Amino acid sequence: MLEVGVVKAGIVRDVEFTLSPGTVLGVAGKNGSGKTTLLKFIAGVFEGEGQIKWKGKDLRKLSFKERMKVVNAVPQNFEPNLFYSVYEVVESSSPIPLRRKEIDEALEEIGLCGFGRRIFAKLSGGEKVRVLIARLLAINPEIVLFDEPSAFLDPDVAVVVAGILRELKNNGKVVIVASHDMSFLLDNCDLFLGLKGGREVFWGGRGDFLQALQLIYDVPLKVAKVDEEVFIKPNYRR
Amino acid sequence: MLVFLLLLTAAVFYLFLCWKLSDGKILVWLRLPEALVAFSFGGILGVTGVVYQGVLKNPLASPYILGVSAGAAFGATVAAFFSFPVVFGSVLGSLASVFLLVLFSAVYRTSTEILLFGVGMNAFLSSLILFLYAVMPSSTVQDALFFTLGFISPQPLKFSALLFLLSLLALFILFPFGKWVDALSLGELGLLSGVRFEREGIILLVLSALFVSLFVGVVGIVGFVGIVVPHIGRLLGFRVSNYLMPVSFLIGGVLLLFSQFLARTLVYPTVLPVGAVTAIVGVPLFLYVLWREGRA
Repeated sequence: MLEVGVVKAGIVRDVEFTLSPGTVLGVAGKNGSGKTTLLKFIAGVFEGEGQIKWKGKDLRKLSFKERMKVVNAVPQNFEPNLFYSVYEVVESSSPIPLRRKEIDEALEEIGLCGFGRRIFAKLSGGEKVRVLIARLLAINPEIVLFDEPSAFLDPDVAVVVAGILRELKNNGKVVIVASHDMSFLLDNCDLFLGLKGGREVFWGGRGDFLQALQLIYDVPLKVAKVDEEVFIKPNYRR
Repeated sequence: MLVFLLLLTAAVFYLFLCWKLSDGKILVWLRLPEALVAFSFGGILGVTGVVYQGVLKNPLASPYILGVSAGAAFGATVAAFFSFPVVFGSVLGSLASVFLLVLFSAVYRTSTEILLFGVGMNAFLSSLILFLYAVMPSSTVQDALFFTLGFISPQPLKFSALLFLLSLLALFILFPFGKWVDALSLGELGLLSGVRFEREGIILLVLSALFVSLFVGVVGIVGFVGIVVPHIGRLLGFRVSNYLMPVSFLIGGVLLLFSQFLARTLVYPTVLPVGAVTAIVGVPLFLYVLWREGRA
């Protein structure tokens, strides 16, 4: 069980929830609603008041390095200013020592076979996100945080990422995904947390989430169902 | 790049050849200590350049640019002014400037701001040194001036051998922290490996400043070696600190040795301050390396 209780962390106030292993939580909200801050607080990168317990143990009592072995993340955007190879980026940013073979396997899983020696800074946006996801798979933490995983991704890669989320869920991980992409969240998450101005405005399952969209985003959104698939879009036309 | 390195080694060989031709005693008792000091200081500057660029996530960082060297020089000048041991002054001075840097980094977190603060501190301390010159008795200004310019003065062989061992020790102490440097250089992603600027980064900055200041206390300020050398190493294909540190140690050592050779021979028989030569050699080299890196 992951128990999160944020009293105050940056803009985020009074957010409390509990997740059991094998759950994917989607965090929805507008820009600046505190999605990234919440994720950073859970990772321990952002200091704040509150508590985080994993299997009854207080994560905040762990050393920073030990904590990173339990909870790790795919950051929102990452641009290195040195020309490291993919191997070097993954190795240098891992809290555990990784063998090249393990990194290769993770890269293969996400469709980047043979990318180990490529220069990270010269990859495309989608390839970078995939390398960061492969990094996470290689580290294999218990709690996995994704910050905007579907940004920059082509549809085919977004499908691969969705598959990874499912696999993590089936392996009993706790997965938390923050995203702007409502459709991506809707299709890939079990539970939803809506944030507005750093406060919790919604908590619930898929059906309720569709009802609460306007509350979270402050704008009328069109929801359409075609062949059991749900599409959400704002009204662009006047 | 390889051609350049060959040139460097050729120059070093030439330097040795020069020594062979002159009297053997001069070679052992005057030139060898000089070469040892030059090589070890250059090596230290190379290694600490790697550390500073990594920790501050900025390819322009080095103890020189950030005012750590200037802090050491200022401390040394003050110590000389009050006739205290110069090395104490330089160590205290550089630690004080690193302390200010760290204090500042707690307030402003982006590495660009920290770098700019360092640049400002560098300028401020340099002008303070100039101020001291103005109030110093004119007989001592000449010596002190050479100190800010970086001048490898004749040292006893034993002392220079000690400095050489010290530089090797510094390399061996900093080497195991290569993983920290790499992680810190990755910024937000590196944080997720459990390495924080607030702890590991500051330890590295202070350790490096300590080593640099010991040498600044002996030689004075030598600029541009610390910035250029890690870039040369990277251009040669060494990116991870565990490789880049020893490579930079060697390149830095060779570069300063080469500069000292130029300092000795350019305006023979006058010996130029080596700091002035490294700037003359270093700036075009730096521009060239940046240009090459942009196209690599």
